[in-house]
Amino acid sequence: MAGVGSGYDLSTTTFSPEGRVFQLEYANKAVELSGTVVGVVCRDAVVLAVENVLPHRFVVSGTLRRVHTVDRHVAIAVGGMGPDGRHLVARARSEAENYRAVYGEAIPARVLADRVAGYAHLYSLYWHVRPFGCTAVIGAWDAVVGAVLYAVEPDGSVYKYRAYAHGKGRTAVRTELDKVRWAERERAEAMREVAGVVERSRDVVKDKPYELEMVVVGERGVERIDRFTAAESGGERSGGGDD
Amino acid sequence: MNRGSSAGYDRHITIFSPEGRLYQVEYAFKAVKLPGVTAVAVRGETSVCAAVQRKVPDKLIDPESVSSAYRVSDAHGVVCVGWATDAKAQVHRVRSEASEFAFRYGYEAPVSYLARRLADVNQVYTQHAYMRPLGVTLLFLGWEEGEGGLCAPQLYKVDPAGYCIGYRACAAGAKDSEAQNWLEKQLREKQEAQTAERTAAGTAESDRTQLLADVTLSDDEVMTLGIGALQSVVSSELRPSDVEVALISKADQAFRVLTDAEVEAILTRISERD
Repeated sequence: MAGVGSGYDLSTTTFSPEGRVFQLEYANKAVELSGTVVGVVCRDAVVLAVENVLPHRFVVSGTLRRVHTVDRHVAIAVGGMGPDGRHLVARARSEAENYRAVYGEAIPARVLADRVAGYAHLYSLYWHVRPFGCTAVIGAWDAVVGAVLYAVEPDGSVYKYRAYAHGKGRTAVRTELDKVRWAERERAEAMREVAGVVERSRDVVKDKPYELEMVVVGERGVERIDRFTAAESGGERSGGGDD
Repeated sequence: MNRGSSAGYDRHITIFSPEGRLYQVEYAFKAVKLPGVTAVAVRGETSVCAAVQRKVPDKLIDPESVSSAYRVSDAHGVVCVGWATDAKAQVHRVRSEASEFAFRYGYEAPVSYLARRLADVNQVYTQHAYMRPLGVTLLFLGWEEGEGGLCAPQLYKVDPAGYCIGYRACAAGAKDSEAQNWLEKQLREKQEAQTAERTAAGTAESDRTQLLADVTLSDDEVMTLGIGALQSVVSSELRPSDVEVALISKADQAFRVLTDAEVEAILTRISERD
């Protein structure tokens, strides 16, 4: 099937003859062009990580933020267009706050994921707006079920995952993620493995320098992890992966 | 088909083609088939059931989050085929309409009412240029208080064009026509059998055969037909994890999804019979 939309790809309100909406597929491509975003559910926490490609040498390290805290128990990692991600996160924060006000308790992860997805879906329906060019990877500590991971894609589809990746290195990363039994890993081990997986997915020669932004969501809440260097992440694995 | 004449009209839903077709709406129907999932629903005397294929799009997904059967209220359920994201939006709408009706009028909305509301909403999307039709077909299952206190199960299908009809048995999705044909064949055999019974028992008028729509089906037959139809159009042997079966019956008095064990039992019965 031709990848070119050839006239059916100019608006979100147009179906192609095969029943595809090309604008949504293109929005997904925008995510594929961007730095890798990863989420995994380990034994006692959710680990979220984003490969932050530094846009300029003078950027102060640690200031490029693509993982955002939504509520005390939820963090969202953005893959794709950062500014679009901030829009989704703003909505998520508003939903979480509203839930607390109405029901008096923390918003369950499943509910938040559905609301964010519903909001993203809205932008896939109308002519006068474009879809979000980002994936929202929602890591949460749910009061009932513990660590959970949801991912909302540009078309508004949302699923619960045990591990998720999107972005430049997603093919390589997903293959590696599938091999690991994340639910058995402790958080420290999972963090190291995730950092390693992201590091190995990059092309050392061609890719620009990056920072790994990592956040862990556990019972204690959302914790921001200081960036890993390539060596600490065990990128060049040598047998044990011990620091 | 002369592609040249339709080149300009495909893009905007408010524009008719010279042949009088709305191509965008037809493409929306294609979108329903795109995920490659089929759903079948059957209505009996005291129950209505819908069986839908369960396809998990990615290995890393937690299978419990993949579901096409949605509870709207105790008396109503919806099974969706097509785009999951559009389906969720529709379900949200149905739930909102159902609860508003119940709040305002004090009794559960008739299934036909809900189905027609959604159908009307779908029609609006086919008439306004700034919105696209939703790529999802909905099967409404429900329970209605009938005349004389009779409880009657109901089945309605609503498609992207805004068409809404009640069915005895129907299919939606990738293999809808094949499944529909299989169901017709099965019901026709039952019709003949039941007509013969009635004639033998002397209860039917001599020259009137039982209408296809009046074929009586028990709860078991309803579920067996639904899952059987799905099995007939799916190339591989179905396992309980591959199919989701939603049921509203007089026995249960509430919308529910069958457990794996129950589905397994029916699948075994179907394969033994074959």
